[in-house]
Amino acid sequence: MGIGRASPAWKAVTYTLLIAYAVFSVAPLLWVLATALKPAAEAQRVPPTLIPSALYLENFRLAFTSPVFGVRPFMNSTLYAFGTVALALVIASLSGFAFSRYRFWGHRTIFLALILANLMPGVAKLVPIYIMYSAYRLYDTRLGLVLLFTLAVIPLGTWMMKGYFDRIPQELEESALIDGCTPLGALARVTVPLVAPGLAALAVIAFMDAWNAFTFPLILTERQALKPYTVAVYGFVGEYGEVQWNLVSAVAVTSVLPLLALFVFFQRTLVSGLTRGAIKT
Amino acid sequence: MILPAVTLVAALQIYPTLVGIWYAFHDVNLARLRLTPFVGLKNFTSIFAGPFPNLLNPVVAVTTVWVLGSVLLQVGVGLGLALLLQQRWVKGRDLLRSLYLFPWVISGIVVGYSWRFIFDPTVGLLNALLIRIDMAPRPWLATGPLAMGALLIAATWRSAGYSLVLQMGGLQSIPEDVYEAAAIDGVSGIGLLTRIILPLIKPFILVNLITTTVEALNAFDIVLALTRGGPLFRTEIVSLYMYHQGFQWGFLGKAAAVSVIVYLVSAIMILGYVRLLHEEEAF
Amino acid sequence: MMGTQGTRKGRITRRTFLKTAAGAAVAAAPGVSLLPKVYAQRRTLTIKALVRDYTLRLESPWRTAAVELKRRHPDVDINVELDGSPYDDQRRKALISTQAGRGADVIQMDNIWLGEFAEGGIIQDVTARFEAWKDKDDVPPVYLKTSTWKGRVYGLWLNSDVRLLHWNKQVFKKFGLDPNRPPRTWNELIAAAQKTTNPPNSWGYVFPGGQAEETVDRWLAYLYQLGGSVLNADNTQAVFNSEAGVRALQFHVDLVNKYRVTPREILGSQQDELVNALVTSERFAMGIVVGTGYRPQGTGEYKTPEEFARIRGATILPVPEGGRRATVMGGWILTVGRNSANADLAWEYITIASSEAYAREFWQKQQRVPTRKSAFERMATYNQVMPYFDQIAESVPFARLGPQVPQYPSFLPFMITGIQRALSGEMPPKGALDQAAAQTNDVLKR
Repeated sequence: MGIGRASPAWKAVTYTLLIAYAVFSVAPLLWVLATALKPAAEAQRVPPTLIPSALYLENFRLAFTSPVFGVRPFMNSTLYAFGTVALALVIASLSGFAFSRYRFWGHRTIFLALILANLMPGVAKLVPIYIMYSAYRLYDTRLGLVLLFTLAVIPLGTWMMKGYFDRIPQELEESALIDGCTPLGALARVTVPLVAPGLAALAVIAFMDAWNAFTFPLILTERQALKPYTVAVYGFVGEYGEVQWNLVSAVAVTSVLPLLALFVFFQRTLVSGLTRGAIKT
Repeated sequence: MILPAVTLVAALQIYPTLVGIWYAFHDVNLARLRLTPFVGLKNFTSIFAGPFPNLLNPVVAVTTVWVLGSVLLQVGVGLGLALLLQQRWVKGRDLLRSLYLFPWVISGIVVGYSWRFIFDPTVGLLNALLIRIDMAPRPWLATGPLAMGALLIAATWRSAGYSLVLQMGGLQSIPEDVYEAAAIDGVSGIGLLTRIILPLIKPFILVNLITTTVEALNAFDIVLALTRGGPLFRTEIVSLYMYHQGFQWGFLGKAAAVSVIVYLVSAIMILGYVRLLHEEEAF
Repeated sequence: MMGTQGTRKGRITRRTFLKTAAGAAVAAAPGVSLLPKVYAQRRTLTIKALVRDYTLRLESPWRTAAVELKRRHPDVDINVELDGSPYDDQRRKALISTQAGRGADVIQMDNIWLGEFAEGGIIQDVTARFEAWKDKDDVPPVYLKTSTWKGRVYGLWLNSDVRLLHWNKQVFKKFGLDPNRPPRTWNELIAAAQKTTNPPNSWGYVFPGGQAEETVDRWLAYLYQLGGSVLNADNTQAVFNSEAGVRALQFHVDLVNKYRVTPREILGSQQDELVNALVTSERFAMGIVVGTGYRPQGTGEYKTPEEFARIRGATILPVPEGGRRATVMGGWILTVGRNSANADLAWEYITIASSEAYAREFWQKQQRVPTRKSAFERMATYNQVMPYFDQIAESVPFARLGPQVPQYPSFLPFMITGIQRALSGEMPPKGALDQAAAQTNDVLKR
């Protein structure tokens, strides 16, 4: 708000509210972490303790050696996420570039259609995609999932990349060519660095969407070996029953830790990507 | 060059939509996928007036409460926090923003199970805290309205940070001169807020409303984990209804009919939003 | 589309851009892992088995049977792939994968799905194989009859099971009840439950009430005790809304709303959630279980069957006034998937896995009823390995199976919702059951 002056009372109110919400944001995670460190008996004690009595790591061992969880789901999720990012960056850049640089027949309509097509709720596609995938042998395949995840970010990605390409005048590339660069060099030295923030933001968003995807993998994977960690968590809870909260908490903590690491490193990119996206609208 | 993008969208978005519409008019059952006789509007009458639960009772009401609640809470909290956080004298802005945003990156299924645990009547955090301050513990997830409340709390916890970042972007886009001019004119406090700031960030609020609405309609994993549509369908939002009918009981034709309805409703809503947005841009 | 006109410089830019993009795509290809089976040229035969998740906890029956199968065929490299699922997913996976063309070779099928799977072409007719099988006389008549549909045999029962009353001796002691005297009648059940109820942490009796098949299954026992049935003799009409049905449902409604010994949470439970709570925590004093409630890997409270017997008990279900002893019999049939590429091998695997030598440990430790004559006759001796097995043996004679008609999975949701609406107090039991019966009749007519 850019206002410099504020009464001490108002400052106190502001900080109280902000800190209260910060506590609200963090408390559930700490609670889950605490439970993950408790043995079953303590986790089920009524009423529950707020702080674990010891650092009990057995829950994590059980989670990682369970046939329905373990390390494989995380490897799958990583594979899907990276695959999606790679594919999404390429496709979104191609189409973003094309829409930005070329004025071909119907380009405005197609662009609009591309953007709007994905505003429809994804769940509505559940049944047709499922039946279609079964018919085309994409059911229970890694490729099938990656294609779907990529699709989810194409409209946003195209729109973002077009925005970035729009802001780069073609003269820049041309002047680089004149200066003696090869076409590839011009591209690499001039264009790509300028759209890099867009690529980075898109990469982060695509990664997050693919990493956290649940609904479609739930329906479209069958073999245990293919399931991402989200579906594995769902299966784990079903298998051990909600009573074993200490186990479920351990699983939750292991699901969140990679995200925490990524968040710490890529937070700025994420925020700037979201903010820029908003401003451009 | 746009071929990959267009192919992908056409194949995985447009074609399935058309197939879905076709399935909505046929009797498609998981147990016999090869036999799909044409049944006209039967799936539609079934989802509207068929055996409980159906759309009119209680899915539409539940979904409306869910979407409205989500949007109002998330945008409201996000905006409120953004306004507070954006004040020039606030310290620790980046840290606070990180804390608010972090829940958003967590997968919906993990969020749902974590909150399901928190709301557990015997071993959950909430009742434990209530007992400690001598208040009565309640069976949160076993009572209709409370379950919806729990769901909204969990959803807001998760996504308010996203709204916050969006709104902060909006607030940051207001140039300093505006504040200076306002100070000169003697406008401050509530007046500053309502007459200057809010109108300037209206486009951001609108975008926020759209994204939140879409996310609420798409919500599936968080509801599945937290309440699974219970108790007795009091949190059975339309995506869950579609999943249960199609994949738990096998009535794929009915599920397809539901998706047709959802498409129609979303299309109307999106068009409405976009029209509002264009009016803003014109202005 | 590629024929768009750009400036000469533009075309260069586009081409080089495309090259870069193509390079990026190639670099990304490993990340987009394509179907891995393409390059595998090994001559391995794979038997894919869709089984219930809990059956994977022991080596028996699957893994020990797999070893035997491989031993019998030393010239072939056999790989047995086991895929375990929770209850709902098991049916869904069997239906989906078979119709998507990737069917499993062996499908562990709930016996109530027999009609649906047989008519839907999900499983194979194995009559010829059965007739040629040397051990076919080891199958008790009742288990042959109920794995036969319209005169054709479709599989072999892996196991059967009955429902018992499980009670927590420590909770009984805590509330001043004799830990070795479980209730024998409905009235005794209500009395014991009332004494052991102390909300919100202790509840006297629990039964499932969520949107799951178990909600109907665990209620059927009480319906049967009063002489009721789900369908009439020729399976054309629903009769579960008879007086017996209404009284059985009223009993449950009263447990929740009148005597308040069962929490309303049951309405939101998922399949197996409440029974997990019953057998691993002190939250509930009594409840209905499949088997005795013992967990093969143990829990925090006990590690061995002996420790289990000290702190918990299982007995035949309490009987109502004017009713007779009855319980529900369930069970799983091993079938060969329709699209199986190795049907003979799959059939052989089934015969091994369901035989006494390889399934015995599974029957004993998971408290299941054996489905081979040789084992059936010796069932009572299982008591030495698993406490309360004598109660299981005693319950078998008056245990009844559920319907096997193909429409059962389709009208099951109506019954579930009807029960739920009565439990929640929204509708009286009679009204709720009448409505469910009407909807069921609609489905049966088709």
